[in-house]
Parts: sequence; structure tokens; C-alpha cells
Amino acid sequence: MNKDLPAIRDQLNSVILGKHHQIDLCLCSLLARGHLLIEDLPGMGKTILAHALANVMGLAFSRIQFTSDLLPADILGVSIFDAGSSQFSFHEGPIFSSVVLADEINRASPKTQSALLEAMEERQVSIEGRVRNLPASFFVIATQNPLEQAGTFPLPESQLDRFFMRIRLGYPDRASERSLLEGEDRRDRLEGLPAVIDEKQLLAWQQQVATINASQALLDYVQDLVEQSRNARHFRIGLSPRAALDLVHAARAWAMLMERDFVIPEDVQAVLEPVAGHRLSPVVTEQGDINIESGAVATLLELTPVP
Amino acid sequence: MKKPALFNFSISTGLDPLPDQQALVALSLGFALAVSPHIEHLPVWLSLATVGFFLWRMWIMRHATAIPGRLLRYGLVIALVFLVYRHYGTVLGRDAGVALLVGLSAMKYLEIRDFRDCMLVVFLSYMIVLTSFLYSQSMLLGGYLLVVVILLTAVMQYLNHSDRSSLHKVLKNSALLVGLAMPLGLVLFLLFPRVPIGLFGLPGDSHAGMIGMSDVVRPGSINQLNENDDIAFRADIEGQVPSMQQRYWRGIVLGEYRDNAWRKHKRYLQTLRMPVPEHDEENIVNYSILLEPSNERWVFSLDLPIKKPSTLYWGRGQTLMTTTPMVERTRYDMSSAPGARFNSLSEAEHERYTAIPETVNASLQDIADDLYGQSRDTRSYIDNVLEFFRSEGFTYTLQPPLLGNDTPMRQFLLETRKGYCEHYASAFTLLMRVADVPARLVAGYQGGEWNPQGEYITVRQSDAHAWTEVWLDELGWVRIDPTAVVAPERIEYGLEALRLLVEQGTTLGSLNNEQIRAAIARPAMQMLWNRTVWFLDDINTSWYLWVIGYGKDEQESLLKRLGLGSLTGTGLLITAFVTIMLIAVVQGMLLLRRRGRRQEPAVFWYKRFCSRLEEMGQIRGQSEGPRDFGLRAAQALPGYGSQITRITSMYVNIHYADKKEDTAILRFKQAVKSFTGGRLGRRAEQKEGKPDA
Repeated sequence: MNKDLPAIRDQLNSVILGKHHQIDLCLCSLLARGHLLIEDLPGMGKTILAHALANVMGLAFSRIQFTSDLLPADILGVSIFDAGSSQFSFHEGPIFSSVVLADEINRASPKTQSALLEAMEERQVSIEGRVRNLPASFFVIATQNPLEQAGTFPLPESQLDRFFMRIRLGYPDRASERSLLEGEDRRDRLEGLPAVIDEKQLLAWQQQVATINASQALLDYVQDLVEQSRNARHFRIGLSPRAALDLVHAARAWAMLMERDFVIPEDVQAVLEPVAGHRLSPVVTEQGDINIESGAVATLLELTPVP
Repeated sequence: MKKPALFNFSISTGLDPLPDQQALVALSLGFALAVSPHIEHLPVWLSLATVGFFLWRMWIMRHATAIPGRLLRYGLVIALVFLVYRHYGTVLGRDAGVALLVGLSAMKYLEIRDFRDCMLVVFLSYMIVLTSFLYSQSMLLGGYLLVVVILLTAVMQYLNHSDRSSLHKVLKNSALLVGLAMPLGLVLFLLFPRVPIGLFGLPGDSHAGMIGMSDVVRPGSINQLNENDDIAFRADIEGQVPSMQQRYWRGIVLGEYRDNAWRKHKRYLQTLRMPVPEHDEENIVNYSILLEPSNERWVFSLDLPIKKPSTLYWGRGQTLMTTTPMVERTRYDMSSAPGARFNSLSEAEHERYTAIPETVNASLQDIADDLYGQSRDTRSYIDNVLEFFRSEGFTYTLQPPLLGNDTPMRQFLLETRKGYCEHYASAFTLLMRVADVPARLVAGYQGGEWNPQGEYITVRQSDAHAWTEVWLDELGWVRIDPTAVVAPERIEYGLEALRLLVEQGTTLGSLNNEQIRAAIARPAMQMLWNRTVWFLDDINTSWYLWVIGYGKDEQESLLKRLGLGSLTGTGLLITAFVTIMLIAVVQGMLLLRRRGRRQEPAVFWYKRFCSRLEEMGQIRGQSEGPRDFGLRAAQALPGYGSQITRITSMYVNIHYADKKEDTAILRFKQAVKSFTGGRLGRRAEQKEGKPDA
């Protein structure tokens, strides 16, 4: 379908080693115009991933480090009185960028968090009564540290639902780590990463996702999954209609990544964990136990027959 | 790996660990439902013990302690058997048997180790459901037990179900299963060879508690029935319904007075044929009697029966009887002529009906002489005696005083003068015999409640009555009811009304008809209630007539109508079996078609493909996508790799890429067919294609 897509994947894989699946998911999220939440410990390469993504796509990148004293204006921007022209002129905040890395989003106050989340949802910012559109390829990668809970405001479930996907990078395998240790500095490679496509191409791809065929049988399967999540006693809260919509969309993007023009159940299964994992609460939740959540998705998969 | 099953339930794999609390609660619920109809006749201690066993088990589960040891369990079994023996005096028979079954099943709780034990308790519960029919076969109980069976089936599924989330689904499934079984049950009901004994050929104790008309009448013996509202029989009358005064239901003729009691003559049973008594052809009443089981042989008929069903025999004095005690509800069609009479009385009969023990004769001689002294003939003697009852302070009472053993009738006539119908009938008959007038006592029922809903008369045990028949040379046997003289209300309005009058403190015989009617008028609410009762009784009667009453005769006539009249025994069984098989096949086909209708052809053929692979040892998990499965199967079966991959990709293209052109489907079908070899289950291939087996 398009030879640029494999090229992009290759580029990214050369920077982030041994994380093919996560990179695919990341691309999938970008293609589906959904925002990504990466939940992992520091030092796993989250920033590099986000940066590399922006570079390869030829997109503007900005990074916001969330802290407890971060204010909404620090993200969105402020109007400053310009003495020269005797007028208020608006200074765009870091959110006016194509790829925004919101680092450690759970450190900011809920007020600031919701400013970001609203912008994500609406793809626009209204400041001082004026609506300002964000770039067409606006894409947020937020990160969250799952372990350090002191002084943080973990995102509640209703906010988590706004993220299209949640992924974890995890430790690299031994071979990847070895080549990481042997090789040159990642940041240098980042600089040398060529832009494979431009924003226009990305937008075209994003529109192409909607044309991927999801058959009746497949939609049946998605509905069965959602229904199962609402019926089964394994889950405290079932999947929302938004989640169902996102699931179909993600599966389409995935199928496109896999260079197919129709969706098969395996696509849905591949994206189920990142799309549904953070929206599905298992009945027994132990604080900080992340395995149990992946268990919930596995259970859901197991329970739902493929039509 | 689970197979997609027809009813969405899976079979226990035996890998399940100890059943959890939820399963145990569900199990107990089913068990309790099954036992519930028995509660009223089980001893209280057993019900408590059942609950106790359950609580004990829950306690064991909560505290994760071991189940009671073998010695303790054996001890409990012995204790249970002993207690049951002490309570019933036996461990055999219906009551003790049911008690043992319930008790031992409850004890099973203590040793439930795995799901197999749970299933055993479920099966025992089914068994207990069955035993309920040993006590009652009413429609209400039948409906209730049907619900219980559905719930028990649901419990069984629930126990076996890996996913216990959807109670609704489990209930629906079990209702469907029971529903599917219904036609099969109906065929067995209609065709299974009937034996002309009770439903289950019950042992004798099943009717031991019954109280009914006894063939020995002594003061107090009928009286003991007056509180008993059990139904004795129902009479469905064609045409004009006889008035209250005419409703004398003849049961047993008692001609011998011995040891202060009226008894039937020896060799009571007479013949299949009797000369038809003289009667008015236009005055015949045709009716049918639906007799409740009484464990006796008396069949009650309107005075005086002239035609009987062929299965009944004539007893002495134009009464009807069966040859064996009645243990099931039976219907008899007969005809009576109210004015019929016999015109001959043989010498022997004359002697038999005037016989009286010497002591009794002596004790009553002076009273009879007194009354006869003023009479010119038998008729005026009868009038005198009746007048004596009417005017000498005799009263009718539901609680007659006890009489001594020496000369009870003399005591009654001269001292107490309070009595129930048997006192008056007995005294009257004896006074007749003292005067050498042939007389006999008739025991039966008088009255009965008209059920306008079902248009039949319901006669209860409390309507039991006794009266006298006197031989008059010119008229034959004439019915004389001395009770009618003392308490006309009893005869004209029935015992129910009489009881009401007594409760109101009315002196019997003091009111005129209008006053009585006003006194016994029922309030509107009561009428409504009565109507409901009548309605329910009507439904129940139909149930007994059509369902319970479906016996050998009914089966034969049905078979005749179906043109299968020649079938008996084995032939019937084979017919039933074949019919059931046919029904099952039809049901199966309907189910398959229903499933098939929802299925696209591609899915159908893909399933065939999967079945074939399953035979080759590659089972598709229910949540496994077709492509993943195809890859896995192709890897496991390298010899078929390309074929599997091709079929899978064809299926994926049709099913998920919406390339549903007929040619594509046709090609897919051919590919599957060539892969499965056109049919499933070829053993040779199965062996070859199972590399990991």
C-alpha cells in the first residue's frame, strides 16, 4: 500500500531497540488520531520515542514536564500586553505543537491536567473567549509513573478513558540492551533521524484509516467483547461506547499498519490490551499490581468467542 | 479448549477444585425446593437436621476445616436410621422411605468433595421431586414441581458452568431443556402401558391415614366425620339436578346388629347382575361419580341405582362396590331412578332383616310395646315412632353424649335423647325390628354442595349420613330418615347450614324456612370466596378427569381412535420409543435449522473445516481468531499446511473483507469439501492426520 510506512517503522526501530510491538502501537495510535498514555518507570525511553516519532513524521515537537506547580497557562499560553502596539498579544504555550510529550502527567494538579485533557478532546483551546485551533496532526503522548504515588494526582478512570491507548514499554531484552550499551548515544541518533514523510502525508494516512473495511462479522465481535465486559462479573466497570468506537478505530489503523484493507479479529485482539486495558477495572484490584489488569483483558478475550 | 456448544454451556472437566460457597448455596436452594412439598409430612427434627447439615457444611467451608471423619459420618447414618425407625416404627414404606431419602441426601452435604458429589445431590433432588407424587398428584403440585425441575436443571448447569455470570441465561437454557423434554414426556404419558393399579402401585400405607365411610356403624362412628371437609366424591348430573331432600347417596346397607353396632351381612358382595327394580322410565337420572380414593370398596350412588358400569358389582340392598379397595380417583357413569322399588322379599331375607339380639330386644321391648300399642298397622307404628322422636324432647347435636356399653339405645331413647343421625337411624331401625318389621340401616351421604362453576355436586365426608329403610308389603323398601323429623334443617339445607345455625345458638326446628335462609345467608365476600373455591375445584376436577384419570381404559379408547387398538405391552413400548426418537430428531433438526439460519454459508463451511481439524487434533479455541488458528494448525500439520493456509485466507477474505461473491463462497466450499473429504470422521485419515496423538 505504501512503502513509506515500513521505512518509518525501520527508522523508529533503529532508535528504540527491541520494541517493535510498542512502536507499532504507537504508530497505530497516531494513525487513528488518538492520544497515547505511556505508563512506565523513568529511563525506559519514553521521551526518545516521542521525539523520534515527531522527527520521522516531520512534525513539530514540544515537551512539557508536569510538576505540581504547573498552571494551565503554562501549557496553553498567555496574552501579554505589548507596550509598543498597546495591545494584548497572545503567546502560544507548548501545546501548540504537533507532537506534545506531557511528561509525568500525574504530578500536576487536577486543574492543569484537565486543561490538557480538554485540549486533547477538543483539539482546540479557548483562551480569553477566542477559540484557537491546534495543529491538524495534534498528538499527545502523556507519560505516567505507576510506582511513585507520593505527591501525585493519579488520573481517575474517567480521565483515563480519554486516552486512546495506554502502553507500557517495559525493560528491553538482553540483546537489545547490549546493543544499546555498545552503540552511540541515542540522542545523537535522534538528531540524525531523517523525516520520512511530512504532515500532509500523515493527514492523508489518517484519512485512509477510515476507509479500512470492518465487516459485519467483525463489528459483531467488537460488540460481543464490549457486551461481555459489561455482563461478566470479572469487571467492575464495562467498556464505554467511546471505548468500543476507539477499539474499531484502532483495529482499522492496525490493519492498515499490517498492510491490509480490511480488519480481522486478530487486529482487534492485538489492540485490545492497549485500548481497553486502562478502561477496564477488574473486580479485585490490588494497589499497584499492574499484572492483574492485563489479566482482565486476557480474561475478556478468553470469554468472548470469535464469530 | 472448549467446543462451541449448542446451548452455550460446557461440561465439567473434572478439574474443578472444591466447589465454592456460591455453588453450595445454589445446590442447597435446589435441594430445599425439592424437599419443600414434603415439609408438612416430614418430622420436624428431620427438617431441622437438614438445615443443620447445611449450616455445618457452610461452617466447615468458612473455617476451612476438614469434613467430618468416616466414623462420625457412619455414626450419623446409624443415628438417622434409628430415629426414622423410632418415628415411623419401620424403615420401609413411603413415609419412612422419603424421610430416609431426605435425611441421607442432606447428610451428603457433609462429604461433598468435588463437583461429582454436587451432581449426586442434584440427582437425589430430582428423586425427591419424584417422591412428592406419592403424596399428591394435584395440578398445583404438578405445576410447582415443574418449576422446581427447571430450577434444579438450572442449578445443575450453574454448577457446571465456568461462567456463572448470567443467571438469566442459565434459567433460559434449563427452561428450554425442560420444554424440549415435554413432548417426550407427553408421548410416554399417552403410550406407556398402563397397569390398572395406582399411579405407582403404592404400598398400603399410602392411604392408611384416610378416614371415610366405615362398614360398621355404631353411635359416634359417622359423627367423627362431621368435622372432616375432605371431598368424598363429586357427582356430575345430566339434566335436572335433584333437590337437597333427594340427595341421598347410597353406600352400604347394614342389616346385622351385633355388639351394639350395625354391620353388613356376610357375603355382602352379590353379583354382577341384578334384576332391575321397578321404576318410572321418565324419572331416570344419568350421572357420573368421580370418587376420591378411600381405600374402601363402596361406591356411592343416588338412591336408587338401576344401571351400573361393568366394572362394579352389586352389593346387598342395591348398593355398588368395587372388587378391590380404591387407591386412585375413579370415575363411574351410572343411572338412578329415585322412585324405584323392589316388590319381593324372600322368607330368608325377612328373617335376616328382622333379626335382633335377644338382649337388645329385651331392652327395647317396653318402649316398642308402648308405641305399637296405639297403632293399628306398621305404617301408623312408623308414624308413632317418628312422632315420639319429634315430640319427646329429642334433639339433634353434633356432639352427642357418650352412651354406655350395656344398652346404649335404651339409654339414648329414655335418658340422653341427644344424638346424631346414626343414633336416630339406629334406634329407629331397632324399634322396627322389635316390632318384627323388616328394617335396615343405610350408610352413605346426604346433601352435597352444588358447584355452579363446574355444574356438579361436591359431597364431603362431613355430609356422611345414615338412614333407615323399612319393608312395607305394598310399597317394598321405603326410605325413612328419622333425622329429618328431629332436624329437618340437616336434610333441607345440609350439614354446613346446620353447623352455622348451631354456631349462632339457634334451637333446631324453631325457625321457619325464611328465617333459616336469612340466618345462613352468606355475606358477599364469602360468596366471592366460594366462587373462587368452586372455580379452582372445577379446574382440579378436570385435571383429575383428563390427566390423573387417564388409565388403562382411557388409553385403550385413545389407541382405538388412533387406529392402534391392537397394540399392547411391548408393542406400545416400541411405538412410544419410536415416536420419541422421531420427536427428538425433529427437535434436533429444528434446532439445527434455527442455528443454521443465523449462520452464513461461509461460517457453516468454516465450522466443518474446524471440525475436521479437530479430528486431526487441532482444536480451535473459542477466542482464537481464524488467521491465528490457521497459522497454528498449518504449523502443527505440515502436510496440510498449504491447504489450511489457503482455506483460512479464503474464509478471512469472505468473512472479514466482505468479498462475499457467490463464486468465492463456492470455491471456498469446494476447498473445504476437498479438505474434509466430503464427510467427517474418516478413521483412516484421522489416524494419519494426528501427528501428536
